[in-house]
Amino acid sequence: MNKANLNNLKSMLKVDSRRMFKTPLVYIMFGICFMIPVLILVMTSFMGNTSVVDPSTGEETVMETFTNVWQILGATSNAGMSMDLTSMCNINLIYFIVAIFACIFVSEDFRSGYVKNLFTIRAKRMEYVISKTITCFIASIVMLLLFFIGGMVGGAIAGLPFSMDGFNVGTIICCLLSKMFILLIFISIALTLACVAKTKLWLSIICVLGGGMLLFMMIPMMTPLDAGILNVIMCFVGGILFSIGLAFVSKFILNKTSLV
Amino acid sequence: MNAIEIRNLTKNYGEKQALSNLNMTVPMGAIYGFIGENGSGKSTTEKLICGLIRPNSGTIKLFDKDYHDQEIRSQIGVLIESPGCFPNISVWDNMKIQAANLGIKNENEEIRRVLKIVRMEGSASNKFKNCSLGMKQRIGIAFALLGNPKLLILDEPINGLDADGMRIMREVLIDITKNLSCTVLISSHILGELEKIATHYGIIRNGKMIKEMTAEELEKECPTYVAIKAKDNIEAKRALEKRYKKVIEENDELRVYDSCLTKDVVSYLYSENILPTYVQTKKINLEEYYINLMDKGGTL
Repeated sequence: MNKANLNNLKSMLKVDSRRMFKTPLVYIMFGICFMIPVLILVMTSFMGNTSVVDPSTGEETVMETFTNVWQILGATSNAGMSMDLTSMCNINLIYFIVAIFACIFVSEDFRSGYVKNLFTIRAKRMEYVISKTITCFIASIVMLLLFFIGGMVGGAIAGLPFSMDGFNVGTIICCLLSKMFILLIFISIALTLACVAKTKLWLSIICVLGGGMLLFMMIPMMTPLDAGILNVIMCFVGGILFSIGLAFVSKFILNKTSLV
Repeated sequence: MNAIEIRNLTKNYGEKQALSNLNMTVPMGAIYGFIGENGSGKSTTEKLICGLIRPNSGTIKLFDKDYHDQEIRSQIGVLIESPGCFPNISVWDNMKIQAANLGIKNENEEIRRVLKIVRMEGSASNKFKNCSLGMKQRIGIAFALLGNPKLLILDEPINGLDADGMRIMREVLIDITKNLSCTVLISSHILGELEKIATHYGIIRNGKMIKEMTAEELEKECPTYVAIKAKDNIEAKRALEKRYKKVIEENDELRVYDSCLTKDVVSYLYSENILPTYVQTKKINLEEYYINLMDKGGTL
């Protein structure tokens, strides 16, 4: 990449960031990311350990809820992934929110006709893809942090313990960093699908949710609460490689298909 | 040097051929009126020039360079279909985004300048979605004018504009071509308005360029005629046909093409005891010329 391309990328990044923070969508997403953990923790604590009796069989089911604030970030590696409430309703939901955000962000470029102006004056599709990836990644880091803060606030309101059994602050930081780098994978997938779907936002969202479900099941294994530096490195390398690979795919799609 | 030079351009959408070996030459400094029916390939040609879609074959040169050239592309201003603004942010912020993409240094000054040209200074703080259709078109023109482009590509820019908007548009286009050496490619169905500004014309039909000419050539090809109305047009026509070779009845009037002298035609009608109720010398305009050309399948 030469100096002119770098300058172009810089100005495009500036434009994308400015645009992102000017639109209400990003603030709605930030609000959702903060409110979801608060609501999950507070509401499940109020309803916690209530039993439901099936009138036909007489079988009693006890609703398992959060017993620790950190469960909102995930489980330790030896706990594994299960299909209960704490495994499904945690910070990993952020991946779907981020993917939907990326789809809307790119789709709006096509729907508003912005891409016409952009690609008429600039022919470099790769700059567009890189700029969008970085901008969405910045927004997703903010969302991740807001989800984390929301979890802490919700835990405090719900009166859940902040005890750390089998992990410590260092492993929590590694867990968050791993989750942050995996965001790159979801963003790249969402961007590629949005480039394919263009103005058809519904199509990109359906595809990204479908594809995301497959990865969603693997995330707890890659980013447990007791994550170490190896998890961070693996997630970093995976995220970077995925985003580079999919950036080329997105570029190819933009090059070969009609932009209007 | 030509601003746009297209040779043997072909574009297919699946089975459908949108453009077929299209040739087009837009000289520098021209206001090129691009005319054609709906679906004839005007927008496709413009999108191809802008690099938004890819041709199947053919070449496009802008200012003698390949149309992919980055430097050339940064000197193009476009308004194709819609201005390409984000609906939820203000006109001013939308303009700032475009100015930043163009790498304009004095953004604020430049935005004020172009908004002043289209008389939209007072609406800069409005959200784009709250602007009327006419306002959106003006904003689109302001967008295209950002950074003093060398080439303007405008697709139906006067649609939705009021009389004042059309006048502004006319003045702006004439001004930028004269003073800033800008070349304009403009497609429109409002031929009366186009005729007032265009210096060159290109007429496209079914993806083929059927005619390219200058305004002077059009002038020569558009004959002057004497329009006459009489109490009995049938009798008047019969009388006129005895003396003049080409007499056509159209829109309740008789058109005598052989003579431009009103006096001559009127005195002849008097000599035949026919009293004309309306006499005027007229000229075929672009719209009539275009309709005739289309009726005759592309050849006059």
